[in-house]
Amino acid sequence: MSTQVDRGTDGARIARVTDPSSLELRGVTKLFGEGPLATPVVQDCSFTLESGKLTAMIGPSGCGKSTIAFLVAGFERPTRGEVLLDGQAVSQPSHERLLIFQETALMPWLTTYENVMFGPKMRRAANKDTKRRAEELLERVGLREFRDKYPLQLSGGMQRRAELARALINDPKVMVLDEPFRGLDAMTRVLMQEYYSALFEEGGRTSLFITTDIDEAIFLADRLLIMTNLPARVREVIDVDLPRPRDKEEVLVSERANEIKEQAFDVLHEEALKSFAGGNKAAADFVEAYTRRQETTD
Amino acid sequence: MEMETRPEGQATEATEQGVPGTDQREVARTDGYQGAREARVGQSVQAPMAPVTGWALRRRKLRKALTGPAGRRGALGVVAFIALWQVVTKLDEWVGPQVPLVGALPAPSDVVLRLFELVATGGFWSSWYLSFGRVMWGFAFAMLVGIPFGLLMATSATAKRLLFPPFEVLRPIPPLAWVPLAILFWPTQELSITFVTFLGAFFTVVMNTVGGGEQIDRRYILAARSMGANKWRMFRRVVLPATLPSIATGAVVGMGITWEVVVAAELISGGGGGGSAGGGLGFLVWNSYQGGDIAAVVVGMISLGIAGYISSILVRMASNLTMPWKRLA
Repeated sequence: MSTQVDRGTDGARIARVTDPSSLELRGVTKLFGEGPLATPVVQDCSFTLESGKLTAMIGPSGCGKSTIAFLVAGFERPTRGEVLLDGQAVSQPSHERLLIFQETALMPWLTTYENVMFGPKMRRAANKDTKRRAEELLERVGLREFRDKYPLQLSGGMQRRAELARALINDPKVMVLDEPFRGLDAMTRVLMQEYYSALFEEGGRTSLFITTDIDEAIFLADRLLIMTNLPARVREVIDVDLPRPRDKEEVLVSERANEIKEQAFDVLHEEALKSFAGGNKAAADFVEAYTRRQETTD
Repeated sequence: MEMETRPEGQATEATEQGVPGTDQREVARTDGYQGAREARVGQSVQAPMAPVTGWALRRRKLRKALTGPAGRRGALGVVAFIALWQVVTKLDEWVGPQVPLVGALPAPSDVVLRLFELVATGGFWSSWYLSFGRVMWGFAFAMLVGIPFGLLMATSATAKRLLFPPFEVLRPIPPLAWVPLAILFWPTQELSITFVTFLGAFFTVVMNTVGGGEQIDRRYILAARSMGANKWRMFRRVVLPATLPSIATGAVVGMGITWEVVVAAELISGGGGGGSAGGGLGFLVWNSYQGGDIAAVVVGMISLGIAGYISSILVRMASNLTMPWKRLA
């Protein structure tokens, strides 16, 4: 065994968050457009991201989940209601609430290392300490050898890991991941789920993980928020009481996980039926697929 | 590029890289998967294949370009073209009948002879020097003024509302229509020609800068905002690098236009300070035509082609220097 491997096994862990934050949406409504044309995208939505827990939000695509992510990050302000971080109202973007976007948003003109150091540099906090942390994070996400490569030279999975490192170095109190593994091939996606799960278990940072994939949500989350169709509201909260650390294969065959999945599916189906009546395309697909599924399993 | 798809080319490349049948990208990707798995267990990732970079790579590419099948075919094409040209133009001397239309052109051999005569004169080189100077000054000022102007319009809505309408009215005016005013306005002929050359590149540079600046991926801006960037750092670290590729495109296109414009401006204005000895390559072409020296016309044309090629290489080199992430090994 070389020394490199040894260094990898005992060093380069993500520091555990000692005092995790909690975030609350209280009666949040977000309208887009003005006057009579205003359409609610989020309506009277309330939920809490409990401290140190990973909350997964699932719902059909185009149901307003990304708007909720933007509200938490502070890119959008609620029309009514409040977003509270540890009881304090949130009004603008901050490195305390970082959003990881769909697809990669690494700066293509910066190397992996420079991308990770981007946040500290923007806040004029590029010092010995943050530089050391950047190297540690790169080591932790397995990108030490790709430190000086540009994003275009990384594979899809590497890009997502670099992005996780770029967010983590800012020590956010809350991390929001908006369908972060979308666009990855199935194999990489599974690996990234396992990878992210381990990273979360290590750090214990309050997180909101937005996805359309029920299996992904159940594998990762402590709690599921099942959203209604547009306008978005929390329809149901399901606790995912599976033991940690989790193993993808164990979760796949776990009876409890399957119960939760059935429960989630039923709620999503009801929701889809409602908006199906209202002529929603995405809902129609879901209703169709759900009916077929029932036919084959019964 | 083409040779990589051919079996012979592949064979040489594979032996050179030492990895038969695998390209660089594939190697990196497999390592990525391993990275995910190994890092989870807490081990570090194996170093990827050291890629060939820098001068070694450039030398290899050049050698391949010159001696590879693609290079050989390119050379064959040029030689065949010149040979055909020679035969067509000399047919009346060698056989009798003149080939219609093209037969009246000077033969390559005549052009080469005329070239040898011309390079011995100072006028030929002063023409090169003058045209190149006009193009480079005009182009440099177009970049110097056009980039900030474009960035201003891209980043400030007020500035755009104010400046864009007059800009859009001036833009469609062909640079040559500016020649009379330029001659009246500027004290010397040299400045007039340079000014018209400047206009040729200016509008293109501005349009590309504005377009690039307005199309920056919103997520870069949002990410930088949430990480605490102030206005200046947002501009310096996000807006500027994100706009650079469009600026470079504008520069390449703009450089092409300056050469078109400088030739026409030299024709109209009569060549400026150089006099009949050589007032620029455009002037050389026109002056030789009026003197019936068609071989010199062709020498001037080929000179323009070479000059344009050299300047576009210079622009590309500059753009590679400013955007290292765009030339990935």
